[in-house]
Amino acid sequence: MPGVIEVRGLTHRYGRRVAVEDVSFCVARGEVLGLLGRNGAGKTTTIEIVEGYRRPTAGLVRVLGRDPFGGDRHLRSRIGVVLQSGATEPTLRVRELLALHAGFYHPRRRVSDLIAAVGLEGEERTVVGSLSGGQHRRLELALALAGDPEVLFLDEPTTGLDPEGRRQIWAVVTSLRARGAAILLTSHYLEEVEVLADEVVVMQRGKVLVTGSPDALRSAAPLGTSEIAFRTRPHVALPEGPWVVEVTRGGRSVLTTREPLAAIEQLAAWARHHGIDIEQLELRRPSLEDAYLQLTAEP
Amino acid sequence: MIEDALSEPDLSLGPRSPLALVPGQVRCQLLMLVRSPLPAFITLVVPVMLLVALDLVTPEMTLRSLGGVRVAQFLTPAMASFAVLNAGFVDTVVGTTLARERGILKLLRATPLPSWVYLAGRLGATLVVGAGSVAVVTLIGLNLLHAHLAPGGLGPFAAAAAAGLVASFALGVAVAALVTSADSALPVSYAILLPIAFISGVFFPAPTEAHWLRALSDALPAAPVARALEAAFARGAAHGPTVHQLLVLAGWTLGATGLAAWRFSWAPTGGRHRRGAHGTSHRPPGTAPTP
Repeated sequence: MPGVIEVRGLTHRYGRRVAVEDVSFCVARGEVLGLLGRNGAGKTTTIEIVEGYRRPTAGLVRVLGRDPFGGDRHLRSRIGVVLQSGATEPTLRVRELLALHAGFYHPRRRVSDLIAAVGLEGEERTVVGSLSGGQHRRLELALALAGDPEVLFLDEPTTGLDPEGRRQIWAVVTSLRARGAAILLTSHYLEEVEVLADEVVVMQRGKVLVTGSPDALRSAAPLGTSEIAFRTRPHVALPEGPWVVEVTRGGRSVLTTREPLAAIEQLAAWARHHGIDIEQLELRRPSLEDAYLQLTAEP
Repeated sequence: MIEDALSEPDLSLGPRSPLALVPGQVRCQLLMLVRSPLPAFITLVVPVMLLVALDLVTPEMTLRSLGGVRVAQFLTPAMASFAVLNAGFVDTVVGTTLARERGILKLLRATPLPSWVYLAGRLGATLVVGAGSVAVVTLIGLNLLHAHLAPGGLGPFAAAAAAGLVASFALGVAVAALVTSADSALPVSYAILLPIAFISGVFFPAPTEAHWLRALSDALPAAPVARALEAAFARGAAHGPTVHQLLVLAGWTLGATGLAAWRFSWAPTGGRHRRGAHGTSHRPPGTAPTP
């Protein structure tokens, strides 16, 4: 099935400096793709090219089958954009701004529905400039939903939101995905990407470092796939085993291992043999954040 | 549930043509102008303040170079022309630059709103605010400073103000294309406007001795506005903008439009919206964002 967003061999240079090199990915209907990378990795350049703000130096970019650069009114009526930085007129009221933007689209959502969708009830008459950071972010998402977007670009959409607000936005994104929207998401919250994204593209120095599902990325992390954490007697020298002792602080040891069962068996045998208590034993897979940090660690 | 709150679009809300979007843009631009202290200060307070202050420091004085008319009779149309230049030029430079640096223009470029509709909205609001400011200045001149509007002068006076507002709006958009930060928009605007206004006879009657200066001011956009307003105010029906004045304004309007088409960027060019490792602003989608 062809992607709603198709990027093939995307390269972009600023003068002689290569910002993005040979980046490829595809987002299908009803799919969320998370674009990750440290600051300066090329995420912003990539997303701005896909949004149509920049013409790429080389490569092919298609959104809904069209070149987004110079995108016509019809294409722009089918996409929604949440920019990284707030971009709203501070002197208008929430309802006025939403009504203005909704008027650009056909079909379009009612302003009251947009306000309810992002949890801004009661703020209809509030001047945009006096909204809190989190409320402002919700408003920006509402603006992006004013039409009926088939493609949504979310550049750090939950920055500044409290946990409740973040989950509200997640619910909206999940709802949109269920309706078949293709969503390109960047975020510094790896937990968010883990919850929302079907596929993740990790960029480093302008190139794609790794692509895959959040599960696949965890497995691709170089230091192992599982962590064993426990508390034991202070100053006990742990034995050699199929693990790497990653952190030992506050009396709590953390082992990273690719063989969790063998490691626990060996650890238990060692403890029994020496009469050492192991407390608060915990086995967990590394989060996407752990995997991401390991994958993108600079040498 | 949030999922339930995200409704389907309402298909009973019909499509709107680009032309039908213009009134909404004008309305919102007017709301922004009314609610922001800076545009109100630029377009209304500055001309009114100058009108009253200059009249107060020249009580009962007459201007020999204008055949002995009272200063208030000169100042009223002169400050009306300054109001036109402030509303059309200064406010457009400041407002457009600020909207770009805040990322508002960038976000609009991702919507189906045609760029010309946005600019038409700004122009419409400029015409309304400029007309209001000219009206206030003129009414103060007539009622408080006892200036006299010549019979039949209202029509040509309004026509001159409208032509001046359109030309200075185009120039404002062009200069906004060159200004790289919102902080510098106001000083740059006045650095351009004030010298031109001085030599164009906006504050004092234009010098007649220096022919080169007169020729220079004739070619600049402020003098046609000031002289057309002054002529209509003082001499009435038969003294609307001359063909030469209209041609000068049309030339500046076309030139400014061309410059804006070439240089105008809808994406922030600096300041807080500068993003990513590169921060360079390039022309956004649908480029050729001409007024």
